[in-house]
Amino acid sequence: MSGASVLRRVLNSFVLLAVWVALWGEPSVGNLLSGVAAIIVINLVFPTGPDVVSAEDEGTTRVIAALKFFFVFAWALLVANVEVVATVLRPRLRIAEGIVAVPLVSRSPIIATFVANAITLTPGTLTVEIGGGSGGRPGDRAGAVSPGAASVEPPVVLYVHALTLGDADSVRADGRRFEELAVAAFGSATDRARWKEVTA
Amino acid sequence: MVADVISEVLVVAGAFLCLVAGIGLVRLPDVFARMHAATKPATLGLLLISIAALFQARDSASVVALVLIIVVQFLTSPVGAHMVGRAAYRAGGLLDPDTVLDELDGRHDTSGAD
Amino acid sequence: MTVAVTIAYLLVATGAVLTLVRLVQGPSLADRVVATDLLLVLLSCGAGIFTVDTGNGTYLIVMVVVGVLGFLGTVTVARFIEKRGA
Repeated sequence: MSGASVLRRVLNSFVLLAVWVALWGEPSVGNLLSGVAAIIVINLVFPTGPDVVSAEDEGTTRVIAALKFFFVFAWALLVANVEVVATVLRPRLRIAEGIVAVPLVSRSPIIATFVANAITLTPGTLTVEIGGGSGGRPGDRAGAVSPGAASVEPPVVLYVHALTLGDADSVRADGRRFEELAVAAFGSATDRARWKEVTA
Repeated sequence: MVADVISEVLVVAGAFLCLVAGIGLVRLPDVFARMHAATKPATLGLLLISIAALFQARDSASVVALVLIIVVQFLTSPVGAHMVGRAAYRAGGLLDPDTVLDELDGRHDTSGAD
Repeated sequence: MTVAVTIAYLLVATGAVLTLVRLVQGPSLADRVVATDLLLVLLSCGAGIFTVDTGNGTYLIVMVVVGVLGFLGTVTVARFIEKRGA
């Protein structure tokens, strides 16, 4: 286990402990002790943690970029709801549904998760399917460059269901915007490099 | 008190969004559209009501519980919606207005277990 | 405060009734699981309105548990749908 992943486990354990104490209400000695016991049990039962990300995709978190991601996301959430409310309450129902393929530059499932969730909570879009990427099932190589090379991961593609579809490209543009913010905030070095190439 | 006014406004706004979610469920033509209506306004509605409750809560345990609710809701609602959406798509049974069904048609992997 | 809270309760209740309609009607299992999930969220909202009304935080922890369990249920049914169809 590398130093970084040990640190991550410790941090996660602290977060779990905090949640445990929060659920019980007060940080009394009893709660803290039972929390520590529970954490120890959890760490024993799941010794390796969620190792879904290959070494090169491990991300680093930049706090300011992360804050930016959350603010953009929060604003998009508000806008989304206004749109949905308007759509639902319109006297004559006017929707145009469609599923748009949004290819991502990144291959990390963590970034994909962030972007997929952000998309789901924002203007008239819902991530329906996720294809490709590292950590996927062995049979799942849609768009792989060369099936023989084990280290080449196919790019992640999000399939996004849109409620009022204007044009497919604007949905893709939204997705890319979120991905750009997510990579800036949480991406790995490889992802950042890839993004630099793409936007150059 | 200002806190009371804020709570009143927020609680009504949040409840209104909950109503919109219900209306959307009934009006919209297919599962996917209904999921849009069920998840987004409901999540924001719950958020607003929780913030309203934050202004009224008397003890710190309540504040902690409210923060937990907000965090849990934001983490679980999009994932839940995605999973149901994916399952519904794979099961088959979308509605007609499929303007752009980009490539998802032949590409998805139906091996089930994740 | 009471006026606002009463209005809020009414709004949420109406939303819940509509959700029930979809729960009964919704042709597929997926429709019904979406309705169930929404119903649970509305339940949490109801508990929240109660706290706004009385300042009493007793039911808030219920909201947390309902949120987590509701999510578990939704995911379970979703996986079922994948395997067995809606």
